[in-house]
Amino acid sequence: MWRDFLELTKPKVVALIVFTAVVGMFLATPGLPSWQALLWGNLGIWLAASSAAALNHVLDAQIDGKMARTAGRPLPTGHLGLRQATAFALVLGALSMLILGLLVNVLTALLTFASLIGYAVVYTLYLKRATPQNIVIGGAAGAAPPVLGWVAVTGEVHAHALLLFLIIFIWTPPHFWALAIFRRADYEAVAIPMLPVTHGVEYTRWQILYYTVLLLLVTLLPYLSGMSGLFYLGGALVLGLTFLYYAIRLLNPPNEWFAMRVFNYSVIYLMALFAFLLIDHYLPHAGAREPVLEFLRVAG
Amino acid sequence: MSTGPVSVDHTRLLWMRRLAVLATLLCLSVVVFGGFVRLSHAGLSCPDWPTCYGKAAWPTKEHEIATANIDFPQRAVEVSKAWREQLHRHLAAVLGSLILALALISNWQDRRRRWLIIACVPVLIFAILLYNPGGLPLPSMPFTAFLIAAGVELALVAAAFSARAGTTARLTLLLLALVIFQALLGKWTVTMLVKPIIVMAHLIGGLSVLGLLGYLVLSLRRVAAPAVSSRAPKRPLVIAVFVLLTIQIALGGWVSSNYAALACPDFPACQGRWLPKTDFSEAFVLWRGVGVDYEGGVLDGPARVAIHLTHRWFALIAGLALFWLAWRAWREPALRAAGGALALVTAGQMALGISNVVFGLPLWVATAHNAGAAGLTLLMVYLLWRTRPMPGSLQTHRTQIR
Repeated sequence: MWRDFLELTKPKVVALIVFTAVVGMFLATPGLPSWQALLWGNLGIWLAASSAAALNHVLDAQIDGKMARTAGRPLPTGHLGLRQATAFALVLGALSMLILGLLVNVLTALLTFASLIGYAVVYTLYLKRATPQNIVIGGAAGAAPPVLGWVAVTGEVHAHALLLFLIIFIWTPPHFWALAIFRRADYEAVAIPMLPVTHGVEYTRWQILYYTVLLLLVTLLPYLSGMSGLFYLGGALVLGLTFLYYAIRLLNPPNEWFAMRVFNYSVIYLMALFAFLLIDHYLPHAGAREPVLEFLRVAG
Repeated sequence: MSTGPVSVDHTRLLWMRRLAVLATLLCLSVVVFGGFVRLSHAGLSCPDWPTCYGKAAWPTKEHEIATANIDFPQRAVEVSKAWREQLHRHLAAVLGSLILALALISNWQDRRRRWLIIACVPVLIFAILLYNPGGLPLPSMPFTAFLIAAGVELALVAAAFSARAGTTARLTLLLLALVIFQALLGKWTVTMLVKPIIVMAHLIGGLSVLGLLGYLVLSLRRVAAPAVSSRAPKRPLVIAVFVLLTIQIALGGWVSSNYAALACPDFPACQGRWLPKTDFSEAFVLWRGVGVDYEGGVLDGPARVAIHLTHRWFALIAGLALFWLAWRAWREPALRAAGGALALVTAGQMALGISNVVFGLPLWVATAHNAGAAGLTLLMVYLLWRTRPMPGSLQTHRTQIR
């Protein structure tokens, strides 16, 4: 029973979300964030993300049952009832709001609430079924956690926090479309207008490539804006070029499974990228000079 | 194999082989001559790029020199040096054209890649004109020119990876991208006033072009070499030794570009001591800002000693690895000649390195030391090719353009 409830919260996805929030917290301050922000902030964000995941299970229960990937979820299999799951989700959400609002700050609670609604209602109920741009727009909810983490520490939205938001926002489409290519038959069966269903696999592959190029450029911004240093830049370049390699190979993949390998890499990519951000934040920066910027000034 | 009528493929293969051999020989000369240009202190003798004092060749006549000295007040014309720098560029340009032809021939059958390569030519010419309009009525937009060149590079690399792995199509496209990058590094060598990291990268880039061309020649050979036995050195060993050699060559480039060759004027001790004063924290700072004239070096004594000693001591490691590999190859009958050559060139290279110190860096010894690095690179590429993985039954078949 508790395993079913746990599965309802999509623990792996939520772990990645909380990780990006943690990184957002550490990047928000030159030293270490307060233990209150770390403990209560992450607990609140974790509960909210779990609540959103559970709500997604509830709202998608019908189509989940018809898709091979999701047919084994607790609701379609009848392990849990709709009412049980709904109550569970609402309790988690309420707890999260109480913790964030009372023990962290009101802005964090408000933004977290907006993200929760954005994912569970706007994306799941409306966007997902309405447009092939569903995950592009819906990606905003998934991109929010580092901002939430940042705000939990400082109480305000900083431009650098929005940079982290932008990275995840641009990362989401190639990440998800790789999965959608592999699972397109599922989506077609339940008439969800995912891009590979509406515009074909070939078109989606090119979109993945375009977004990957964009992602590579966007991940340079933390360095170019002076938020991160050379260590991050090196990591971002290696990770980004590898992603690019996967995206180019996906144009002419060796087998059907390759889309899934791209998807798996994209998860590792995001974790590693944020790990680089985090480590770089605590490395002593060698002087104020930015070699690459200086090089670009004289490259012509 | 080809008993039937001469096919188009056969003609293509023949021409590619001839071109590739020619390009490899030319590349070897460009690398050796490039080392000579640097070591004879002629690297900055043309202050502009790709022209030399505004000319396609270099100023020779009295009035040309007078005009050049007025137009380029930052550096007085030295005809005896300017010709070296500009001839190096001309040779490199011919090499670039040969590589362009190779890329075009081996990508001809793929319509997209063919047109990409053809399109690169006017685009690059346009970028060069944007950088240096010469007498043409074009605005001078150096940064835009750089962005265009970077775009061309990205497109070529992407095209290379769209070709199948292990094909000459991919190899030649990578070569083309690399040789264009070498041109950029050559330009920056001049405009960033022999900045050490640029000079070192230019050396490594040149040897990479040479190595890839060597690999191309080998993969175009009419008859595949006999298979090596299981006692032959394995590929990972060859790769590991190659990595050590590359590090040692890069360190050598760092010695030269920081003018540290004579930081220790004696051998085997340094300044009469086994542990002279060193400064490793300053020795390997890769970036020291631009706008500094690096000719003659900017580091103080202890930092140069640190650089010099690193190259000297790492020579022991790289040398031992090379001798070990040479011995392993020597034991394998099919690789005996290569193993022997590797041992000889390694020994020669060490002798040249010591001579550089003992005799106070004579120009011909220093140039030969650079040529020795090129020779070792080619030998390692040969061993790399001989130990390549082969599908069992295919090894006696002809290598074909795929």
